[in-house]
Amino acid sequence: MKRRSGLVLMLSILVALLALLAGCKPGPVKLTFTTLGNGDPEAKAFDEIFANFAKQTGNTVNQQILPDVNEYENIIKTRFATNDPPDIFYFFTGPNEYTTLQAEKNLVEFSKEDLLKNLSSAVRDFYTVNGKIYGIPWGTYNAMGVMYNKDVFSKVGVQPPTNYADFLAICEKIKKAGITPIYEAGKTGWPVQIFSLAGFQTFVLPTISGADGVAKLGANQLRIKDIPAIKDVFERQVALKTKGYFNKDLAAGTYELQQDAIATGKAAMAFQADWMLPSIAAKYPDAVDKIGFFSLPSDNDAGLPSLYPPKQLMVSKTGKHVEAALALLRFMTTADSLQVWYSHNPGIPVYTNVQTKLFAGQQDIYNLIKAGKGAINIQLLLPSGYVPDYDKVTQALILNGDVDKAIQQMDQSYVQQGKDKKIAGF
Amino acid sequence: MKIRKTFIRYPLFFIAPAFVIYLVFFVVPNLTGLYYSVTDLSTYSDQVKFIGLSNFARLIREGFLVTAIQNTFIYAICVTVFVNVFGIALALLLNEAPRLGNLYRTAFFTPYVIAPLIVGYLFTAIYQPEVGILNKALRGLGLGFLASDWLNDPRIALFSIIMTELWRSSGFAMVVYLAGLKTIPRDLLDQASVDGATYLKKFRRVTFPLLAPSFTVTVLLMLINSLKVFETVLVLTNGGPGWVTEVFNTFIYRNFAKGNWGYATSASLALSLVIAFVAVLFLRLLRRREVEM
Repeated sequence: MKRRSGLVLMLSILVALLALLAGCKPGPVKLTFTTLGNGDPEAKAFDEIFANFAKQTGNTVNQQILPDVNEYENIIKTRFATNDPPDIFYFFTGPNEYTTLQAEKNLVEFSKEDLLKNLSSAVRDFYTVNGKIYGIPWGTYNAMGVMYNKDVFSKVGVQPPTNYADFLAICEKIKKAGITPIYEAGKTGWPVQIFSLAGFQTFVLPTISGADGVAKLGANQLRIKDIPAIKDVFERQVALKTKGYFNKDLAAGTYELQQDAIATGKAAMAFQADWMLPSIAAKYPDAVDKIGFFSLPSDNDAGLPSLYPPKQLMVSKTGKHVEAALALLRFMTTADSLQVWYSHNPGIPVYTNVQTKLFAGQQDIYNLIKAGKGAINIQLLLPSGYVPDYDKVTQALILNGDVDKAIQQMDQSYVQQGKDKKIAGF
Repeated sequence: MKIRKTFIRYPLFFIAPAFVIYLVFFVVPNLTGLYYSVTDLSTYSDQVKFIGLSNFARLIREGFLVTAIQNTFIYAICVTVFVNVFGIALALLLNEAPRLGNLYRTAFFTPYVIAPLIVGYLFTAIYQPEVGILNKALRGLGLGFLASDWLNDPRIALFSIIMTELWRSSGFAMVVYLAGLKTIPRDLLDQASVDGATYLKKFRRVTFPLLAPSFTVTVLLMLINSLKVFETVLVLTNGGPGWVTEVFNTFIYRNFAKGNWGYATSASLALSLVIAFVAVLFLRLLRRREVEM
């Protein structure tokens, strides 16, 4: 009797265990995708792509939009430091971000993945460091320079400038017509750095022997304070303010107000990049194609656009769902997903298997790129990045006009950053 | 002997939980902070190296900290002085008008219970140069010449932040001084009146000396809290425009955010030492002038 009841008990436990195991199927995965807020068009595109991904695989994606561009890098670094990285995230452009994020330790490497096969070779080369790629370029090719309202230019009777003196003459004419020549977003901060970043290859690069000079700067063999052309660029920017070419609410100007001013013609120009066009299109669909682009001109010619390859998608090596994140990445780089992205965010593609519609300003940039004009933005060429808190340096410069202090701060901060990031030569 | 051991053991049992919490959340972090402040701990490398006083030398060498210290002290002095002045004034007013006392006491104290972060967001809207209610009110009253870019004009941005804190904290000082005023014997003031003392003389010779304990508490608390200011500055100006309103804690925060943890910890330790020094100094000075009843 005792033996039989023991046998029954054992069999019951076995049956219960089998039933439990049969019920334990791997469920759908919920991935976290983190991105920085950059207007509705990007968020909508991601929503649509993730919805399609969920339909196909059953895995869902939780899109976390972090609103503050200035803090985004800090938040991602903190999440890695606290072992809570997002599964997949959208990050700033450039291979120098590999150092920022300790790529070898934290990120999945993609050089052997087939999802790069449709990437344009120039962008692939740009993102490859020592044969390795840790970020998948994704999005649009942008350029920094001058966004301008074509209607205002027609009304005042001017054309895009052929040199810098011409540019100043245009500003004066627009000012006399009672229109703000240039809208600067002093309060937001980061737009104010675009003049000097766009001006680097126009005014500075030729004086430091181009790529050689950049290499020396990257290895700390050339100091920022020893490049007179950088001081010259700052003096030009301050001169635009003293001549009265900036908006009256310079210190209170925001990026949103800047977009409104250019779209409505309250201001003629803005030192910006074409990444502002999708947001303008969402608010002013009839006005967006009236916004054109020209490069910041040099003293002798029409200048070069400062090129900004797209941001990159990165996968955390230490995330909870690496395989599922890689599956999402492969899905996002298919022609269909890329098409969804570009339908919401028209722009110059970096993948060869997709066609996109461009806004007028983007077509101006694309024509320059096709003509072989343009240089990669200096921020993206230096291993340590350019200057930490550069937005604050240029914000202070534009408000107090102290060029020497700005140069000193830049030089000190750049060297210190190199030391902090343990870059060779610093 | 057994009774003596029991007598010692029971109090220890009761304080043990609080002591453990104090140890874990205060003592240990401070000691580890002391250790990390002399290392190159950062987000850019896994190995931590001892670097002696290099972080502290860098603090002195970099210009940003000088601005941060300057702004922090200006902020602390202005807030401490004016919060106490307004607090005493409000307390005296409410003490003389007991009927209105409860309503106004609540109204003046309410801002203090609002989190500094929320107050910062509220005042960002109030200070908006075009549509903010402050400039609109000034223009409506014919004082448009006073309307300013309160948070973006480098000349006045710090004082705009100070005004925000005065609005928030004066109610707290008022409540402490009101309590202090209630402890002053009425007959002392009556005797002073009989002797022909004016209101101002009564305040200087009778009321204020007897408010010494309240004064000590309020001054010390305001001083220590304002030396640690952070959320209000972060929300209102983020240390800007440029670095014009950078304070000690936003400087520390910025360096933690950049991943320079060892360096930021050394700055944090420096701030703790400054606050400790100021607090001890003021406590000694203020205790000396307290009048015992």
